[in-house]
Amino acid sequence: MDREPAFSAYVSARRAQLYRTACLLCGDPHRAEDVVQDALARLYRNWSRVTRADNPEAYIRRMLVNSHYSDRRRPWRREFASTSVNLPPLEPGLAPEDADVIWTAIRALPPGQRKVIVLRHIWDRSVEETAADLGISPETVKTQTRDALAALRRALQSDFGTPSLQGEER
Amino acid sequence: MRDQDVITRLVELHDHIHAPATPAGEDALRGERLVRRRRTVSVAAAAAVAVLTVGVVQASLSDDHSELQPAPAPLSPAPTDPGDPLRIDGDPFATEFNKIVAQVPDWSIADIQEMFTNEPCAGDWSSAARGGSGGNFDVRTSGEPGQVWHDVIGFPSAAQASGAVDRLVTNLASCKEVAWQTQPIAQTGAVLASSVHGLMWIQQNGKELSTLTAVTNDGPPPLAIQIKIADLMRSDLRQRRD
Repeated sequence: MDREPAFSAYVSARRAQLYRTACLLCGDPHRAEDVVQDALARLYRNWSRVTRADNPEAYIRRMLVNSHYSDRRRPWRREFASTSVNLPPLEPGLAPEDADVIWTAIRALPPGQRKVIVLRHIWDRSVEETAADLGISPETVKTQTRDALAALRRALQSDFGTPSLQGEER
Repeated sequence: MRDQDVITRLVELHDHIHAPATPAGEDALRGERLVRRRRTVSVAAAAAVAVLTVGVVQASLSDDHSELQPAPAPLSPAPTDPGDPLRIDGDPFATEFNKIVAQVPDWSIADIQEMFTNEPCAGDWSSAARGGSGGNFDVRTSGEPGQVWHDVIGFPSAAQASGAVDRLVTNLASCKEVAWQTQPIAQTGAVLASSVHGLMWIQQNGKELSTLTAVTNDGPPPLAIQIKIADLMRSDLRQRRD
């Protein structure tokens, strides 16, 4: 298994980050673990091809997002905002009450907006890169980003907002 | 509250999520099992082709100069036993889909990760949706292993689902980069959209709409297969409502 040392080094360096991001994508820490396991298994299978690619990070990102889709089809579930909130375990430094408010807000976003927000602001992808990763137009990325930020702003306003700073940044 | 404050909060939560400590070796083991499963499927498919070929050759060599006998093991219907290499655990839709496409030996589906069209030609045709579920699943056709995308989207009303179908078809027809043709599939209520890059089945049942996207350079499969896939999608939608 020639690929194993390099693969293991990659996993050691990146797994925690992939898991955190998957948590935001899925809105569920248990599903996030399944998604990461699935993505990494696929990555292992395609390791030689991925490491030959010009942009392996983009390939890995797509696998994680596609694994998220795959997870969503097993079993059938509707993506309505759920009433139960499984806040993942936290590292020290963030108050659980604050984390709970942010967690609830991100979970309430429609899946498409959640994906766009994660790609744009967690992975720091540009509008064009996000559009390419998701197979949607840049205009749709912009619209979904705007709508998602507006929804998050509304949700977080009462707990974190300062009335004098209300309003969107353009 | 500004957008930057929202993003800061989001990143703060992200960075404080505690990731479980999982040895990298476990992920490698899972990957190795996936590789072995793929090999098993490949070997099983190759063995099936070999058996078929031997059957045809034996038939042609036997009985002096009598006419060629049909192959002993037709590809259709596909096997259904638990050892079926086309079986995908926990996903009956994917398993049935694989059995259908196995009946078209010269038709291949590529890996959808190479070209994923989620919202073709822009335009949000599903904005009225109330929920949905979708994902890729593995497909074994005559070429390299591939994947298809299948999803189901729920709408508040059948009229809104129907409107979404119209918008999706209009979006596809408006594509400037790739020419899409759309046509109804006889007696199934489904629409098949095709382009040089791939195919999309669109099936509606009441408030729910299902799409299935396959990347292929081989064009649409025979009509009988188109119908079977459309029927499978319709049956899947009905089961979800029950």
